[in-house]
Amino acid sequence: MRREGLVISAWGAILVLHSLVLFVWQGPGWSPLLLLTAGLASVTAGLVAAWRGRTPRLVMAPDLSPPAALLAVGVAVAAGAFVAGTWLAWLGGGIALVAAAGVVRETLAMRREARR
Amino acid sequence: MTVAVLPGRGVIGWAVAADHKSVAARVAAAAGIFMVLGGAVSLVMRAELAHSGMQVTFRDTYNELFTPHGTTMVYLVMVPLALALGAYLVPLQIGAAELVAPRVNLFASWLLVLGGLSIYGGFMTAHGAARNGWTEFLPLSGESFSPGPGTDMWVIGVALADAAAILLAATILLTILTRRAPGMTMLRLPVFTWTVLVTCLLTLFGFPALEAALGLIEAQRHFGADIDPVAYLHLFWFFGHPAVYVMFFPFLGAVAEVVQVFSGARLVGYRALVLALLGFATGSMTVWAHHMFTTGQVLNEYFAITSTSLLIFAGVEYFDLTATLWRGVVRFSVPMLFALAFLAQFAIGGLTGVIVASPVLDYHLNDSYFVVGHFHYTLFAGSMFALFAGVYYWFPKVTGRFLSERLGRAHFWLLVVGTNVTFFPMFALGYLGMTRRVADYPERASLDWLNAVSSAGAAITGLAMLVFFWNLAVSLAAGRAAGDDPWGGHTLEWATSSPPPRHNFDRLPPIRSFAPLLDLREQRR
Repeated sequence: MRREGLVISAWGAILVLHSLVLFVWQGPGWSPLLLLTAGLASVTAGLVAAWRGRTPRLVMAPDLSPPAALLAVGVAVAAGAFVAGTWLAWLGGGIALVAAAGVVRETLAMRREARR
Repeated sequence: MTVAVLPGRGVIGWAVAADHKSVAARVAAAAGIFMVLGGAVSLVMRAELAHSGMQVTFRDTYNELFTPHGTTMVYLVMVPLALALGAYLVPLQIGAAELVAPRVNLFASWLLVLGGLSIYGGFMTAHGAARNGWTEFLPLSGESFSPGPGTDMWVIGVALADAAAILLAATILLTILTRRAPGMTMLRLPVFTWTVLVTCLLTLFGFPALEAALGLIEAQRHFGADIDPVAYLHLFWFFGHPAVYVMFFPFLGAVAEVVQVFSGARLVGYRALVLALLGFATGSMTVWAHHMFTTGQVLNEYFAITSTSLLIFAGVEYFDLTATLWRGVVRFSVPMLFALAFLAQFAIGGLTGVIVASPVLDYHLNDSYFVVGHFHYTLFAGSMFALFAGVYYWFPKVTGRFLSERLGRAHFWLLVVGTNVTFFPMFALGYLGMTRRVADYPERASLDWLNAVSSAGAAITGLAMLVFFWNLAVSLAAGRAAGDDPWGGHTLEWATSSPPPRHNFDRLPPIRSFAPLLDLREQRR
C-alpha cells in the first residue's frame, strides 16, 4: 500500500463533492455528470495506485525502441482512414500490428535479460 | 538498479531513443518548430488587421490562418512544452533513473509530431484546412458548414496530440508516485515537480473529454448523427479550461525554482503552496462552463463563484513567491528577469480573468478582443515568459553551455515591449466592440490606431523571437561552458553532470527537504 496514491483519490473526492453540490443546485445535467465521471475516475486511479503501485528493485530501460515509433506511425496512418477510406485503416493496422509484435519481442528480450 | 539495453547513435538513433531526456528533447524540438509556424501565421494575421479593409489575405484565408494559430499554440506548442519540461526534469528532480514506461513516452512523442503533420496537411486538401478556430464548435465543424477533408485532418491531428499528452502525463505521474529516491517523500518534492504532478492530474482527467468531443464531430460528419451543440461545448470546455492550467502550472513551477535560486533563499510557505496547487487544480476542473455563460444553458452563479475563487489559490502562490523575493538577495540574471516579468504580466491576465468570470460583464465582453487580450496575457505574457525563465535557467543543465546573457537581455526587453504593445490595446479594442476572429473591421479612427499599434507590437515580438533563436543557435554551437551547477541550484538535477548521463545519477546526496542541495550548502557553512 502506497499512501501517495491517496493524494489522487482525495483530489478526485473533492471533484465528486463539487458534482454533488452542482446536482443539488441545478439538478441532473452535463455539468454534474462530467465532474462526477472525472472525480470517480480519479478516486479509482488513486486507489489502484495506492494498492498496486510499487517501486521495482530492477528497472530495465531500453535505450532505443524502433517498434514503439513505428507503432505511432501505424496508429496515425490508420486514423487517416477518416479522410482516405478504409484501405488506409488496413494499411495502418498492418503497420501497427508489426510494430506491436516488435514491442512484445523487445519486452520479452528485456525480461529474459532481467532474469539473468 | 537500472540496466540499459540497445544502445544507438545518429539521427535515427535520436529519433527512436527512449531515454526520458531524448523524448523530452524531441517533443520540445517539435514544439519549437510548430511555434515558429504558429508565430509566423500570427504575424500575417496582425498584418491583415493593421488597418481596416482587406489588404493581405482573403476572408477564407484569414479563417484558415487563425485556426492553425490557436490550434498550434495550444495543442502542439504550450501543452507539449509543459509536459516535455516535466518529462525531462521530474526524474532528475526526484532522483529517478528513468520515466516509467519509456516506450510509451517514445510512442507519445511521435503521436504528437504526426498529429501536427496531420493538422498542417489540411492545407494541401481540396477545400483547404480547418477554419473554425481551435475550438471547432459544432455545428460549424459539421459536414454542411465545413465540407472537405481539412476538418477531418484537424480532428485526427488533435486527437493524436491529445492522446500523446494523456500518455505522457500518465507516465510522469506514475514516475512521481513510484520512482522517487530514498528520502524523497511527497512533502519533499521540489515545487516544480508538484506543479507537474497537478498538471498530470488535469491532463489525465480533463483531456479524455476532448477525445469524446472530437468523436462527436466525426459522428456528425461521417454518420450524420444529430449532435446537441451544447453537449459538444461541455465536453470541449471540460478539456479546454483545465488545458489552460496545463499550459500554466509547470511554467509557474519553473518560475518558483528560478525565484528561489536567484534570490538565494528557501521558498517561503512550501506547504501552503502545495495545498494551493492542489486546490487550484481542483478549482480549475470546476470552472469550465464560464466559457458558456452566454449560452443560457449552465448555472452561471456556480461557475462564477468557482471561477472567482481561483483568486485565493493564485493569491497564495503570489504571496509565497513575493515573500521569497523579499527574504532573499535578488540576482537580476536573464532567468530572473523573465520570472519577474511573468509575475507582473500574469497578474494582468489573471485580473482580467476575474472580469470575464462575472456573467454580467461577460455578456458584454464575450467573443470580443478583450477576451483575446486576456488569454494572451495569461498564455503569452504569462506562461511564455515563464517558459523562457525555465529555458534560460535549465539550458546549461541540458546542454552544458550557457545561453548568451547579452542576447538574452536583448531578447527579454524586446519581448516585454512587443508583448505589451501587442496585447494591451486588445482590452480597449474589445471594450470598443471589436469582435474576435474577424478579418476586417469598420473604418473608425479608434479601432484603426489601436490595431496599428497592436500590429507594430507583433513585429517587435517577432524580432524578439528571432533574437532568441539566434541566441539558441549561437550558444549551442559555441556557448560558454557552464559546469554542473552554475547557478547554485537547490534541487537534485544540479547534483549531476551537465548534460546528465544516461541514467542521471551515479550517486545522490542525502534528501532532507525540498531543497537538498541548499541543505548541503547550509550544512557546510
